[in-house]
Amino acid sequence: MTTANPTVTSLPRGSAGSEGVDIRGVISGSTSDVALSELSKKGFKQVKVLNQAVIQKLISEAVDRVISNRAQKIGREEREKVIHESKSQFEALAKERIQRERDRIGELERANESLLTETEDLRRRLKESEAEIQRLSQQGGGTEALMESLLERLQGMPGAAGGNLGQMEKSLEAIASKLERLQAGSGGGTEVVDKEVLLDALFRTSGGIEAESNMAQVKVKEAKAGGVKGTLAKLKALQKGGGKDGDS
Amino acid sequence: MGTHEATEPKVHSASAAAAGGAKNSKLELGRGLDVGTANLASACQDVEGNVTIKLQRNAFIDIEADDYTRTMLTKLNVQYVVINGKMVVVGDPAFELANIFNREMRRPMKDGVISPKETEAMPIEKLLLENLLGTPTQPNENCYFSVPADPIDADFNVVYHKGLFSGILKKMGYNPKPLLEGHSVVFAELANDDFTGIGISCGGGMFNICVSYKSIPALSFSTSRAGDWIDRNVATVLGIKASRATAIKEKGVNILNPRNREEEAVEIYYRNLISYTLENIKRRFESASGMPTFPEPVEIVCSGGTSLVGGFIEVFKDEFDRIKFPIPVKNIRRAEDALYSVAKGCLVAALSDI
Repeated sequence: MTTANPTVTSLPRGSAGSEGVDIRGVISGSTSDVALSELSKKGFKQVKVLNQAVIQKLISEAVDRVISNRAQKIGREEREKVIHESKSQFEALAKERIQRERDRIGELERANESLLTETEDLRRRLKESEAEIQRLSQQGGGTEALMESLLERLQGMPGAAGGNLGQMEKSLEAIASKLERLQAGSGGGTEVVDKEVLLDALFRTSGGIEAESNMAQVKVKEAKAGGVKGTLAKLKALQKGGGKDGDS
Repeated sequence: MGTHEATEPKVHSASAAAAGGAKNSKLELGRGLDVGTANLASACQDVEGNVTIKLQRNAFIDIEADDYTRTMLTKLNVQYVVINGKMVVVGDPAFELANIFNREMRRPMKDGVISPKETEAMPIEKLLLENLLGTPTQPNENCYFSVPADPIDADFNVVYHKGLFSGILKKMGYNPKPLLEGHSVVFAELANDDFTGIGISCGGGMFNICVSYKSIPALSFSTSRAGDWIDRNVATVLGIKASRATAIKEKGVNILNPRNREEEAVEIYYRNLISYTLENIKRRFESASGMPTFPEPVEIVCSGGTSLVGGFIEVFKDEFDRIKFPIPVKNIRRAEDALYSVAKGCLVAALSDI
């Protein structure tokens, strides 16, 4: 702003303006024109003159600085607020996740304990069965009784192949049951079982294996191997108490 | 084995069909039978002392059945049976067909014992045994059959397996007598050492080890990695069927000098298997309380189909030298008839027990 007459201007307070403030209007509205002669009469010999453009620039810079300072202050607070909220959310999520994992570990531990109990139970049953087999063997015919039990069970199986584990488990259950019955019976006596029938059952298939085959017509691969006469003689000598040391 | 007098074996005439041995020859009483995961082998001896071995691959495969196939199979000397309406080719041809048609052959046994997965295993096994042994020369003839020792690296026992094969042989009219596989190797191969030493049967499903002192087994056990383990792993790394891996292994590989990628895979797994087995043997020996103290260094003899690969003994010695073996060993060698020595050992036991 340039005027013909130099003007003494007192800056308005609190003119923290924004881009929308009419600084020129504010200056104009807040100042008054005083004649130099009046000033001279009042004893003012010199006055400082401010260019209106410079004033406007200074005000703009001051406002910018204040806004900038405030923006920085707001950012830090906001940041802290965000950090605080994030931390809270994170802790909540972590707690939830940890609880979930704890629950899962608990379930696994319970399953593991159950399996261990089951394993121990199976071991115990195996030991009992082995002891029973041993007892039967000592009484004579124990192995046969065992086989008969097994075969008897297999006889009742469809296909009678007894190859899968499920069938094996049933067979073992049958053996255990049989052993219990034997134990409860008079002196571990064995039941009379028709072995021929049982073995037939063991190898029976629904179609009948003998139905069609050329096995008898086809020659199996044969080979001559080194004789065993010398070996046999040495073994027999050893059995008589001879052997290499005895021979020499 | 009994403690009978050393008499000459009893002799009986036998027809070829009945005995499963040489035609029109007189056979001595007593049979040996190797019940192996990969192969079944029977052994008998005639009066001249000739030992005849009958060998069958312990395998089968089912194929489409029609009249033309039936006729052709018989003409081609291929054994088949019809089970549940399915035509099943058994023995060696099953292996060949599996490779031709790029299929897996089926196995009645797995890891040294009857396979729980093959529901048709038992009828097939019975047929194969009937074919190998025939009927006994006289009722209740002794038949020593091999059984694996309990494994030290797997959780199963052989009670069911042993009882099952006893049942089959009894049904066939034999007097079945189980013999530990490793022990049978001692009978067949360590006569010159007074049946003292270490017999190892390197089979398809297991390695069976027996430490024997004057024919008495001091320690017997098995390990569950063997030839099939090699096949499975080679098949996996090469992206082929296990049957094909078996064929590669059996076609004449020398593991000291692999010639291609396939043979290199075989060599790597063989070396690993031997190393694994020796480490297990060593560990078992070190932990055994009843181990005999041998007055002299002993011999280790390896038998079985898995020991037949070229360079096996050299690699075995090489791996042996890397470990501190707890028993002094004078020699490591392959059995004279590596594929038949278990059957021969069973035969020796049978002939000595009349």
